[in-house]
Parts: sequence; structure tokens; C-alpha cells
Amino acid sequence: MLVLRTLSRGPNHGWGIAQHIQQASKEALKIGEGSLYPALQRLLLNGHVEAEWGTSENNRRARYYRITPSGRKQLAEEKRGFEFLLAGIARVMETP
Amino acid sequence: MKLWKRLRQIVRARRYEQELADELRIHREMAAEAGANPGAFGSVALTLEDSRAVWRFAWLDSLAQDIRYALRGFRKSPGFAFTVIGTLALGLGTLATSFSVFNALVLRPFAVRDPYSLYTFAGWGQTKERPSHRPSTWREFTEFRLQNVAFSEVLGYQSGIASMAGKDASVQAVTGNYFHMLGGGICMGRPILETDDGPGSGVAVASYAAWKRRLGADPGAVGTKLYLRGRPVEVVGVACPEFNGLEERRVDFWVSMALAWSSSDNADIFGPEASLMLTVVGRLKPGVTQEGAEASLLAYGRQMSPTWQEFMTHWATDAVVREPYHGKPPRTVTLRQSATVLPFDRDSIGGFLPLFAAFGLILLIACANVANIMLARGLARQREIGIRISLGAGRARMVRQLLTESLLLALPAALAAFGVAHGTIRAALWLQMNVLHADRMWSVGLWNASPDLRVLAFLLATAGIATLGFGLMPAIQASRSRLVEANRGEFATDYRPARLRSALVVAQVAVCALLLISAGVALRSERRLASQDFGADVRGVFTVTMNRSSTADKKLRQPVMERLLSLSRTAPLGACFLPPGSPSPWSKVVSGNGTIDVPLNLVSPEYFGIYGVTIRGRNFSTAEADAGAPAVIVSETAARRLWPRGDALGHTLNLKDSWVFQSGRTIHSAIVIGIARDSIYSLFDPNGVDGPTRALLYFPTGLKTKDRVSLVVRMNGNPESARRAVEQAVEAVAPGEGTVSSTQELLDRYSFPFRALAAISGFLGALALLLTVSGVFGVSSYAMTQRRKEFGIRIALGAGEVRVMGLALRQSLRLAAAGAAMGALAALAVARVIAHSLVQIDLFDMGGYAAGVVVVIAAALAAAWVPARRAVRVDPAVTLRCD
Repeated sequence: MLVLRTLSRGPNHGWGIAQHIQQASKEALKIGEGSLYPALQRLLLNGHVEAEWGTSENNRRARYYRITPSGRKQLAEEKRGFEFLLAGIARVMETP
Repeated sequence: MKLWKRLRQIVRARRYEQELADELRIHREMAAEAGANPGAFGSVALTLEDSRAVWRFAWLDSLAQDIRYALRGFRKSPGFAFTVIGTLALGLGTLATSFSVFNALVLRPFAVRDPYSLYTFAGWGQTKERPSHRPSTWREFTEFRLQNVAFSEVLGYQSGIASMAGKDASVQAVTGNYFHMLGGGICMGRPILETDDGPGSGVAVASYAAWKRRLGADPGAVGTKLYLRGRPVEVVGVACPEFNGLEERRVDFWVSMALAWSSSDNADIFGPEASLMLTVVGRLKPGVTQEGAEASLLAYGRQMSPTWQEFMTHWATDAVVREPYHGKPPRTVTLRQSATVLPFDRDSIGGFLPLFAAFGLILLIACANVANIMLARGLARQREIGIRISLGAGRARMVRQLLTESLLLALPAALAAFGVAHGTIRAALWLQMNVLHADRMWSVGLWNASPDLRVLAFLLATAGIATLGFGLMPAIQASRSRLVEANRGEFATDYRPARLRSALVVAQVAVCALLLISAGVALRSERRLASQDFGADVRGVFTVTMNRSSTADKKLRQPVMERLLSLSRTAPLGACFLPPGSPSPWSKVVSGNGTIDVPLNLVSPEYFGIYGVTIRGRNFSTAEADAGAPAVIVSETAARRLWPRGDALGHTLNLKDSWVFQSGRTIHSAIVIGIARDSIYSLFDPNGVDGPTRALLYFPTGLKTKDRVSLVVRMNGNPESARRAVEQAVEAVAPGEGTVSSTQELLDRYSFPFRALAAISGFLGALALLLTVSGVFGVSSYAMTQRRKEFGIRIALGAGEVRVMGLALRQSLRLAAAGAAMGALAALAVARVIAHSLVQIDLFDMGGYAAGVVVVIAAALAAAWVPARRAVRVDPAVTLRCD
């Protein structure tokens, strides 16, 4: 979900996604390559993202991932599910 | 979509891998530039593997792995692989042979257009099993056809045998629409057409095989004339090779209706007086079900039954008398689907079950063999399996691997089995014709029983099931390894595999004993039959039977007789009403003891001389023979039965139903003038109780009487050339009218099923013995190798070699005896069950049982002897030293 959210801001390559998540969560979440790339492959297989080779900011060759409409739909769904879960947990924590 | 992506990924695997590796490298470079700690990344290989796993099918990968591993293993031990494949091929092939026969008879439809819509209409009647009335005259048939009751097309045919050039030909008289309705292909000339339906000289279409064999593959055969039933027939076409109509036996010629038989030969076939025995086959109208057809046919029958005529042939004058039908209106209609030779219903399957069971037993033995081999191999691989399990392979994974190996062996075995089945069927057909001398009656529908795709599918399925049978237990056994011991290299004799092994050996021996006992019983009864003293010298005796048509008989008998007499090697000519080996009519004879059923025959005085049957008293005189005097010669058994006290000569015999023969002759009573030596008349008592019939009454007839007799002639010299001489003689004066058979042939006809049974059970027994011996040999080798140490110690301690051998063989003897006992018990049980349907064989023949048991135990001991001897012979110093 986090990867999809990152990509919904715009296309990015693997390292860029990892960096963004790390920074946006204020160092709370660090995605390692061992989980990031398998996740990206799954997203590719399910058609939620597309990939193509391009050039990065430093004129380096990198593989850019871009979210697709079905990816956006998936993101919305997952977000709904996660928020539902979160609300439930919050309620449990707050009942005296 | 996902599937397609995955497939695309697999196809371009290398490029994707390269891209992924590049991506990771770039990721790390970027991270390094941004200053991340290089050690915090983890394994590249693991990441690559996980990424890869997303795209691939996990199960396919592990399957490919298993297969590669298994093939490597087979390359290292080819002997093992070939033994297993060979054994399985034998077992599967035998079962496939029986399935091929089933396929040919029950599953494979005839090579005609839309076979499943064809139904044979057997008639109307009171019960379905016995239809009593069917369209019988040509007019009834055409009316039935026109009414189009339930069928869109209807054809009729009549199968029979006619003589052509002295030899029998299988002939079918068919209606004109036969070829058109069945879509029969014609390769030369034209088919029989509707315009040929009608009186005329008749036309014929030859089958491809007949064209090759009888017409010599003559390209100008179309247009030639043949003589069938004494009438000239023009050959108008030759059918294509695959077409055989609706028959399972080979059809040689199809002829037009003008050549059909009818109840009376004098009447015009197409007239109202001739009753034709036609088989009526119709194609159901589209959308009509079998029940619907039956209902409308029944309605038609009820409506038509008042106009039915019954046909009686008056014995005395040979005239056909028609009488109105007096029976009740029909209640049932018998309609049978005729897409295949035998319908696919419970009866057919039930009939084939014993065949499948017997042939399947061979497969069981083969599987037990292979299971033992796999068990042994599993034990030998304990170390390797132990290592794999300790590296983390689950038990299920190990079992899957071992099962994959078994499957990889079973598949080539299935393919080899296809070849085995093909070869076995070919061999069986050849044997049937040349060694067992099956005649036309018993050439059971095997004109094309070769295995086809359905048999292949059956083989693959059976191979799969067999794999589970022989592979699962050993796989489970093998994967149950004790890791610590295995890694140390110690393989203790775990009792469980040993018990399973022994159980398999006992099972094999038991099945083998069962099959050998059956073979023994069948062979003994066949030998008993073959060595029956017929009481008559049948070698070199031929019978010539003219067509049962009074005109042919009257006109042609004289010329045929003269021709036969002129053959230089002929002894006097005789005549008989029924040749030996034919079922004969039984008459009720009244005697002092009450009424007894005895068969009778009409013979000429020369008959006894030709067959070498001695007579006490006197023979018929020529005058008595020609006049049909009230004299009778009885056989010894008949004399004993009718006059148990005292001599039969001179007594009078009374027949309860006075017999009227076709010539108009009647027999009420006769004086016994002679007693003939017993000769077996027909091999089986129709009542099925007493075995061969020896009681017989001979009434006089002569060569010049009006009785329809067959001529009997004894020829000396080479039977083949003698036969040809007789055939040529008959053909020269009466083409297509006479059938020549040798008496031996007629008698063989009755003993054929027993010879066939003996051959088949002998074959199965031999196969079972072969497999069992090899199985016992394998298991013994293994067991003896294991006990080498023990033998070494015993010998070192001073035991004699003989004593140790005895010890070694005791185990095998125990298993063999247990197996043989179980087999014998099983045989007794099976004999009990089938005893009532197989009366003519003594199923409890103890000689056969004893033979079977002895052979199997001896074979098992012999198989165990060689490995035992080898193990005992080894120098104890060697065994005790190497561990």
C-alpha cells in the first residue's frame, strides 16, 4: 500500500520509493531491498504498476515504476481497509 | 492475464533476470551515493530468488527439479530402470490385450456413417428376450419401410455362408440402400443400388480383403462373373478396406436380395410365399429417442398383427403353407442399439470381468515385483534421503520425489506395453488360425482387434494407478528414515520393510499358484478331450454337403457322386443325414425300461466301413438302405440303455414321436439288426450332463434315396491334397453348390473353446511363473546379501554347508508354501463360484491342483537356490572382515 501511495505521487524508481517512504515516515519505516523488489514484482504481475527503463536525475539508467488506474483502485481499497482496521484498534484502546 | 504474463516471463527468463540484477545493482549504487551503510542490505541472492518466485509456478519448478534428479538417478543405474520398465510393460501389456478385445467388441463403433443412431429391430413379441414376429416377406418389409414408423431409413440384410469354388465365403444379402445408408466406401466400380432390389441374376460387391485373396487383386475384377449358390453373379464393385458393414466377422461378399435364402427354395424371393430371415436395421429419425421409437413401433405392430401370416414348411411336400397368425397381439418391441458388436451394457461388462480379472492378476504380480525392487532401492538410498531430510526437505516432498520417479518409469512402460499388446494380439490371431484351428464359427470378432487410441488412454490411466500401487508404499517406507543412523552409514534391518517384502512375495506366489492351477486344470481337461477315443477312424474322411435345396440335390447328386467315385484314391462312397459332430435330433424311444431320449441319424451301409465302426450282427443290405426299411442298428451304449438285460438283437424299437423327414419318410418302429461299436457322436450332450454322447441309433438310407444326405468319402494320402481334389471335383460339376469339410474339422469345432481356454490359461500361467521367479530371485538375492555375515559366522563356527543352505532356504520355502496354500484355497473358492456355469470341465481336478502347487513351490525354491548358494559359498574370512 505504501509503495502504491508513493507511486501515486508520480513515477519513481526503486531506490526513490524506499527513500521517500523512509523520509515521509520520519525514519519510522525502512523498506529493505529484500522486501521492496518482491513487492514490486507482485504489483507488476497484478497489473497495478507498469515499469520501463529511463534515466534518473543523475543521468543514470534506472527502472521507473508508474501506477496504473487499476493500481489506484487497489490503493483506495487498501486504504479503506487499513483505516477500518485502525479505527477498530483505536476504539479498543480507548474503551475504559 | 496473470497467467499470460507469467508465461511471457518464463519465455524471456534470461532477459528479466538480467534486468532484475541490474536494478538491484543500481539500487545499491544509489544508496551508496546517498551514504547508506552498505552492510545493511542483506543478501542479493535471496532478493533475486524471492523476486523470481513471484513470477514462476512453484509447483512446476519443483516438478522439473524432481524429474531432472530422477533422470540423473536412472542414468546411474540403468539396470534398475530397464528391469522395472520391462516388468511393468509385461504386466500392463497383458491387461491391455484383454482391453483391446473389449474395445474391439464393445467400445469401437462400426466404420459406418453415424453409428450411434442405428438400431437393430429384432421384432415384436410377448417378452423382450424372445421377439416372435418380424417383417418376414418382402412385401411386409417394404411396407414397414414405407410407413416410416420411427426410422428415417431402414435396411435389411441376411448373413450366411455360401460356397464359392468349394470354399466357404461369408456372404451378406443386402437391400439396395445398404451402401448408401451406411456410407460404405467403394473403391472400384459401383455399390449395390436400390435398382438391384428385385428378381434378376443378382450383383455382388466384393470386400477389399476378398478381392485380394479370392479374386487375386485383379484390377479387372469388376464385371467378372462368380458362382454363388450355383447362380451366376456379376461383380460390380470392390469396397474400400475399412468398410465391413455391421458385422464383426469378415464379410467377403455383399450380394443383392435376389440371392437371399428363403424358407423355401422354390418360391420367388420377392413373392408373398417366401419368408426371409432378414435382420432389420434402422436409423432413428433425429430427435426420436429409443423409447419413443419403441412406442410407435409397438403401435404399428398392434395395428398390423391381424394381417400377419405364419409360415409352415410341410415336411412331406416341401410346400410352404401360410396360416394366419394365432398369437396374441404384441406386448413388447425389441430394439437394440447396434453401433458396436456388443452393446455397452451390464451384460457385456459382466461377461468381460473374468477376462479382465485373470489378465489383471498378471499386472498385480508385476506390480508386486516392482514394489519389491523399489523397496530394495529405497533402502539402498537411505543415506541420500537422510541427508536431504536433514537439510530441510519435508517428508511429503520426499514422497513426491519418489513418486515422480515411479511415474517416470511407468510412462515408458505404458508405451512399451502398447507394443506388447499389439504383438500379443497378432500372435493370438495367428495361433487361433494355425495351431488351434478355429473355424468360422469360432473366429470371434477379431478381424480388427488391434489396439488403438482408446487402448493407449487406458494404458496411461492404468499406468498411473499402478504407480500409486507399487510406488506409494515404498516411497513412504523410504522416507521414514532414521536420520542419525542414516548419516552414520548404519542401516539396521528395520523389520517393517522386511515384513512388507515377505508379504509381497507371498502374494506373488499365491497369484502365480492360482494361475498355474487354472492352467493345469484346463490343460488336463483338454488333453482328456483330445485323447478321447472316438470309436471311429476319422482321419482322411471328408463329407460333401450339397445346398439344402431340393432341386440342386436331385439334379446334382448323381454327377457329384460319379466324379467322386472316379477320383483314383477313393474307397466306396457313403451317405449320412448328419455328419459326425453335428448336433443331432433326439427322439424319444420307448423300450422295456420306459422312455429314453436317444439321438438318431440316417446312414448308408458304407458309412460303417468308411469310419471303421464294427458291427455285431449284420449291416444294412443295399435293398434295405434304398427302401428305407424299418431296420435299425444301435450303438452299444444305446443297446445297454434300452435292453439292459439280454441281447438287443432282434428286438423291436418304437419311436414315440414318429419321425417325418423332409423326403416324406416316416419312422415308427424298427427291428434291431446289428449293434455297432460305440463312437462319440457329438462331443457334448446337449443336456450338458453326461459328457460325450455315445448312445446312437442308425437308420438306413442310401445314396439313391430321396433323403437329403451328405456324401461321405474316405481319401488316402496327404490330407491337404486330398481335400483339394475333393473340392475341385465338386466344383467341376456343381459349382457353388457343395461344401466340403473334413470330419476332423467338424469335431475340432466343438473342442475349440477348450483348446483356446487351455492355451490362454497356459499362457497366463507361464507369464505368471516367469514374473514370480524373477521376483523371488530378486528378493532372495537381497535377503541373502543381508544375511552374509550371519552365514559367515555359522560356517566359521563349524556348521556344514548343507546345513547352512537348508537354513537359508527355509525362509523361502516358508513363504512359497504359504503362498501356494493361499493360491490353492483361492482356486477352490473361484472353482466353487463358477462351477455351475462351466459344467464340462472338472474344476476340482486334484491332479491339476497338485501340479500347480508343486510347480510354483519348485520354481520358488529354484529361484532362491542360486543366491543362497552364492551367499553360503563366500569365504567367512571375507564376510567377517569387511563390514
